[in-house]
Amino acid sequence: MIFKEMIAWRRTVLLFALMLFVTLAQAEYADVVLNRRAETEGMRPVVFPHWFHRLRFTCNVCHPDIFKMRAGSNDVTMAEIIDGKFCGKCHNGEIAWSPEHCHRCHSGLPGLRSGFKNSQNPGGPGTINSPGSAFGRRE
Amino acid sequence: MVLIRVFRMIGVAICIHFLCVRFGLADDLSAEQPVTLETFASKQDFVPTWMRLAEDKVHDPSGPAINELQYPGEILSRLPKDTLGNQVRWVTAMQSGAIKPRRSRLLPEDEIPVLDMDVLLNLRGSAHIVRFPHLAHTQWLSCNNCHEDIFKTKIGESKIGMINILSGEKCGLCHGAVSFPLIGCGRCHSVSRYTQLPYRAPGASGVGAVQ
Ligand code: HEC
Ligand code: HEC
Ligand code: HEC
Ligand code: HEC
Ligand code: HEC
Ligand code: HEC
Repeated sequence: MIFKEMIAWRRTVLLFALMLFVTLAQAEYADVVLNRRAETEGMRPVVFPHWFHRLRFTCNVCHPDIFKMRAGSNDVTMAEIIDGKFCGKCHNGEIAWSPEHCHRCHSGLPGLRSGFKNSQNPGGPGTINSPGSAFGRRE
Repeated sequence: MVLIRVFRMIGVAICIHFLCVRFGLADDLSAEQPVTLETFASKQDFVPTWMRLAEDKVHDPSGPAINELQYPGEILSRLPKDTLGNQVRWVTAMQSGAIKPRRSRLLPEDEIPVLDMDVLLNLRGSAHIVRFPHLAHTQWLSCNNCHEDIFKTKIGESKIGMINILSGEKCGLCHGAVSFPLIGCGRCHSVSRYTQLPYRAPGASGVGAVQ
């Protein structure tokens, strides 16, 4: 009975949240920040631009073979990129420019956490920086 | 107890009413054509603008790459317009041939199947019925992006709901992150409850519907 009440209230809260959320619309490029290690090792965080890559490749080229479709779930290291994995599958000097152009990828503002930026995805469980709240990932 | 219940009902009613009016989600019984977000948006003179990378709070404006990376508006402004997300109607851009993204990294291109089948979801709710187009999705994605991980390959088995969509699961994994955002209610909730529903057609192309 109490459980039922709670579920019902959750819907009200959800709808209120939804109203808030729809008024927060803004432009988005679906950039993903990758910063598990980069900054602690002295490089700027990595910014991956979805808008730029989806003009050239469909999603299935990268997902799920190269990158799992969950921000923060791919443990990318620079050594593997140079080895031809992850970004290095293309950024190898053949399909796209080689990894020696460090700053093109390492272009983020210092202090950014890994995850989606400039997007309206309210975030969810499974993201590395999700504090557990449904609206935690918005930045 | 009764009071709480009454308050809750009023709260829910106000919320739903607001959303329905805002997005034209409810069936307007007096109008022949229901107002959807599409018609709502097309009535407004909309001029898309794109943020400069130096101002987007993601790129470091003092970094060496800021003048080397491309300004998104340079390309995106030439593609079919949208009022949502990054303001490109990607489905039209793909289907009109305005962009031709490669389906495979290396030549020769692998055969990646495209499926033209719509699935109708949310048949029992009160908002517009959701039409999920396999065609628009399989032009970008392959089957294993969704099946069996996110969605079961059987209609009605996947436990999709607006709550988990809003928290970044199911449809919300992509929509709101990379694909058109969730404020585009009418683009998913696109079929009026007063239209004659097509029956479930046999074979690969047809319309499936949850009971
Ligand atoms: C060039 C490669 C590439 C392409 C093409 C690409 N993505 Fe991604 N995608 C990534 C990377 C990299 C990440 C971040 C992974 C991480 O943080 O571990 C990502 C993350 C994601 C996520 C995770 C979101 C989250 O909230 O957790 C989604 C959803 C996604 N992409 C959808 C798409 C869709 C839809 C398309 C096609 C329009 C697409 N991607 C095209 C590389 C790509
Ligand atoms: C194609 C894009 C790209 C280029 C070019 C690139 N990196 Fe990285 N780099 C990454 C990604 C992605 C990560 C993983 C980020 C994370 O999660 O911390 C990374 C991580 C790192 C790290 C963290 C530690 C490690 O070994 O993983 C260092 C240090 C680093 N890069 C240095 C460099 C240097 C130096 C260059 C130029 C020679 C360079 N990177 C060029 C994408 C790139
Ligand atoms: C499927 C192949 C592919 C993968 C995987 C890939 N890229 Fe790229 N990327 C490209 C291509 C192609 C270009 C355009 C190169 C050119 O213009 O010469 C590009 C360009 C870029 C640019 C420059 C954008 C601009 O504004 O000019 C950045 C930054 C970038 N990639 C980052 C990344 C990062 C970070 C990763 C890994 C997380 C990654 N890419 C993975 C294919 C890929
Ligand atoms: C990405 C597609 C998508 C978008 C965008 C979307 N929805 Fe939904 N919504 C769904 C799906 C799918 C269901 C059906 C779940 C089910 O089958 O029970 C649903 C269910 C619902 C329900 C519960 C069922 C009902 O009819 O009572 C409500 C309310 C709802 N949506 C409102 C909205 C509102 C308001 C918006 C805009 C802020 C919105 N939706 C945007 C896909 C979407
Ligand atoms: C963007 C995600 C997505 C992609 C990609 C996708 N599907 Fe689906 N598919 C769905 C959803 C959502 C349903 C409905 C599931 C439900 O109602 O629970 C569905 C249902 C189905 C069904 C069940 C129909 C029925 O009558 O029960 C089949 C068969 C199917 N898909 C085949 C495919 C094939 C083949 C591909 C690749 C060409 C594909 N799908 C790609 C999301 C997707
Ligand atoms: C794996 C990622 C993914 C998932 C999951 C997904 N979509 Fe999509 N969807 C896309 C992409 C990519 C497009 C192309 C348009 C874009 O990016 O804006 C698209 C386009 C659409 C369109 C057509 C929009 C138009 O402009 O005509 C509709 C409707 C839609 N999705 C509904 C849904 C519904 C409903 C669900 C859940 C049942 C869902 N999608 C789940 C990736 C996804």
